[in-house]
Amino acid sequence: MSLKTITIWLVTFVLVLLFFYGLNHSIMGMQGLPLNWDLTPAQWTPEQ
Amino acid sequence: MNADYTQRSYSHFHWLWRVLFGLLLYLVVVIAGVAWAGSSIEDNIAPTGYVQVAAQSPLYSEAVAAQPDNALAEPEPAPKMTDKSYRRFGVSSRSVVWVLAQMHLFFGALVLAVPLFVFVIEFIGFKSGDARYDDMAHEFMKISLTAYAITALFGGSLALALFLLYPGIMNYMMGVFGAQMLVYAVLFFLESMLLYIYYYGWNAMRYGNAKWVHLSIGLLLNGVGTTLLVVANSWATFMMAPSGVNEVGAVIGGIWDVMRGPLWNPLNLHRFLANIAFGGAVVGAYAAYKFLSAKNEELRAHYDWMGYTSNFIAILAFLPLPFAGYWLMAEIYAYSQQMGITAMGGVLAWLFVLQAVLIGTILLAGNYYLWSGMSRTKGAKRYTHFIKYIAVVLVVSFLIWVTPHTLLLTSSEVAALGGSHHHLLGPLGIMPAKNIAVNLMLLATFLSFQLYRRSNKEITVSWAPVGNALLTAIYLVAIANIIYAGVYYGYFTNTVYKVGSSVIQVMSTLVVIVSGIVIDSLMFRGAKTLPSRWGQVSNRAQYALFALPVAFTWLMALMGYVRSSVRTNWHVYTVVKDTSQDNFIPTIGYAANMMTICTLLFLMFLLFIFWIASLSNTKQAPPGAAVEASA
Amino acid sequence: MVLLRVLGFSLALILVFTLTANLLPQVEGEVPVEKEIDLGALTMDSFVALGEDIYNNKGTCTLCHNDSGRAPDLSAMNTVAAANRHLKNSRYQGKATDAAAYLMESMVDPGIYVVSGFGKKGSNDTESPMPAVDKPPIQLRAVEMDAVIAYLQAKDGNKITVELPSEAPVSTAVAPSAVTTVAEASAKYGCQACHSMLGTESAVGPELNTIAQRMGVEEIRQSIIDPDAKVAKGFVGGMMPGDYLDKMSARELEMIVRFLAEGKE
Repeated sequence: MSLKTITIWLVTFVLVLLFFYGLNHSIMGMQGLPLNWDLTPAQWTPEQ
Repeated sequence: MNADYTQRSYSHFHWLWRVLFGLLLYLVVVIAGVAWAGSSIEDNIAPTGYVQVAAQSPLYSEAVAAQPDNALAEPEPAPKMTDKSYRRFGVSSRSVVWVLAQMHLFFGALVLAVPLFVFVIEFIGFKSGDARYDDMAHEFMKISLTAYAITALFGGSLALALFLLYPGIMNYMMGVFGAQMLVYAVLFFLESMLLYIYYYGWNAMRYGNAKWVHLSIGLLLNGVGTTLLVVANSWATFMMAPSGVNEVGAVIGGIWDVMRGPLWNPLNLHRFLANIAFGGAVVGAYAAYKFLSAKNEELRAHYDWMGYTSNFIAILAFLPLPFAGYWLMAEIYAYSQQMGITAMGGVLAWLFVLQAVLIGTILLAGNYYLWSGMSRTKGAKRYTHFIKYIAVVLVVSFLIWVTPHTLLLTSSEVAALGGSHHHLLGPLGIMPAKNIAVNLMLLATFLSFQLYRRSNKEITVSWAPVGNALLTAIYLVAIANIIYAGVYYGYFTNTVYKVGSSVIQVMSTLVVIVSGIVIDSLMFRGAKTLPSRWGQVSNRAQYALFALPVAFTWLMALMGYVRSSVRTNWHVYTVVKDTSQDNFIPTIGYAANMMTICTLLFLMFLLFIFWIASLSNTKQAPPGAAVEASA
Repeated sequence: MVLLRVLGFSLALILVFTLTANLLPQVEGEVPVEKEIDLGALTMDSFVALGEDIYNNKGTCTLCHNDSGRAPDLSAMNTVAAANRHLKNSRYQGKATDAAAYLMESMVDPGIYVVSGFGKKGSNDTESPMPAVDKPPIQLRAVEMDAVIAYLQAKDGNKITVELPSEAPVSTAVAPSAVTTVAEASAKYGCQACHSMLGTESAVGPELNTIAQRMGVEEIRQSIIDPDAKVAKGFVGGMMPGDYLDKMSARELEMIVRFLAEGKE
């Protein structure tokens, strides 16, 4: 496998990953359920 | 002619792709809009039920007492149902109406859906100048035409039965909808006229400017047909979530307020898509039937292609359907959480096991047909090794999906079932696991489609490696995201985040489908087409084309049972109580038997229609012909 | 031949679906039955039992109040203690001062105070997804809501503070059902006990079948809300109750007046 092929795969993979990361944030944000940077719920206090 | 038939690529299908793409975009916008609007769902809920009333005085009697004297100016409240509101002739009135309504809906769906894709196919034929598209469209239309008469027949019987057996509620409904029903009748006449002109004028307006006239009639026909659909839908959604009336059922808004309930548009979209899928499946069965009885290669090639097209239409319309269903369900929950739980978690919960069996059947049959179809071209060899992985994903997901659901019931129901949690239930029985499974099944099916489309092509664009890498990355990340969202939010956070995360899953699947269509259509530019041989497909594959309409028909009946049952013992939810003998939700077994009766009836009529369709092509030789030939 | 094979295949498939459905547990959806409560024979124990029955069935409370996390799991907690805790919460805006009033408040107006984590999606616990239980489709009567409170108090051994509905007439318990016809209104207010109307005879009060010939709309209305203002010839005053203005809704009053004055509904 050439260096060029590896670069193409890596770059597209990272870009797609970033896209989905942003997607998750925006979808949950739109529903009024914000997330922290690590995708954990930002608006949730485990209280009964 | 034969060679031409079997060697063609039929690349004109990119038109269909564009139509689907438009639909998907619309869906994305709608879902985003719903998610964005959040609270605006309440604004859509009409002034009935507790949403609007919450701001008023808390007790009903106070609310009535607090009304000003001029409250009298209001129209009459909904009547109370008494013994006189019902008639009964030995058999269960509900069962009579059930069968008639279901038959009317089956044929109505077929009649409204077929012209939709016939119009698109006709347009493709017109643009490409390929007469075969035109012929196929015309042949599809023949089925729709015979079905139309049967639709009207059942529609009339249904109306008669309703007014005869349920005079009380029908009287109220007539009062609420009033003149709108006349508009419906007028539209119905218009639909008949346009349908007959469209079919019988086909060859008279075949070329040149006349074709434009014919296409316009087709467009008009579909406009009227879709309007009929949404008008009829408003009756059903009014009964589920009444709007435009106050809490005692008196009409306080215009007809537009009555129609525009919170569930109207979700149901419109859901039925529109489902009708297309259903219609595609039914004409697919017609093609399969003709394929199996075909006597020569040319006919086999023709009906193979027709079957392929039908399956294509059915599955493509089916893919976005779960998302439309999701929207409908979300609006039901927003309208009344109690109604949502009745649908998803009460007595009806077991039904979703059945739904999984049916949708699983549809997806497996659709995928199997695609895989069989790959034998039409030699280029498919490059991709066949993928099939076994897709099959594994489909089967495993299917098994997770049918694992029984967690049940939420009232205590006597719990007693009847022996515990609210089924003893087989592991963590696989709960919703997040099912969401993962459903989305993966959809992705697997879409992958089958993409592979099928690639199997007869050699891609020549220079950036092909990037495109392939991008597609692969999108698939992998989307799958990871769907699993992550389901597992993490589903099992380790609270209910609110769990429900919210299913939107992530839905959107991930949609991103794959939309980006897959876009990237594919760009990559296929200038692609070299490998020869395909139509008619080469196995006979066994044709049975998949029968499994589709059978499962679709039964599924439609099943979902109708849920949609109607969520009203529980109300004719019009919260407004008119059902006090008849049949005001309970029947058991799933009883309902299944009703559905089977309806499906069998439908099948009989369908075979009759197929027979009629081929009868009209059969010409008896004139008695003198044989003599002349021998002379 | 093809036809038979196709038919056979389709039938087999349909059979599989039907069979699957019949193998699933068979449950019929129950319709809530309006139970007549015999107030005279009611003891606190049977009142609590009634509350438990309503909680589990007619009230459909357990659809959400269970261990699914949709709503606080009332059966797993000391409800009264939880109510007292919420009353002290700084977010509490309601009028209740004790647990019973708090519970009543959360049934008829669930949005007043939403327990943290159970609000509508995106509302950050400011809106409740719970329906008001005195409204359709649940439509609990006041007595029934009291019974539910009694049950919620009794189940954890707390003192029952709601009172038995001993004196309340049954008719008020049925209040939420709107009266829509003159016959129903007449039955509710007992017009035909004294007056001849709607096909029944009684000589205690003036007959009303031909009242339209003797009185106009205004006089009829006045005779209902203030019966002794003008007593008909041959009858004595003080016989007819004078509190119909308080008891009747505007809608009911006008319906009866219009019926008497015009002879039709």
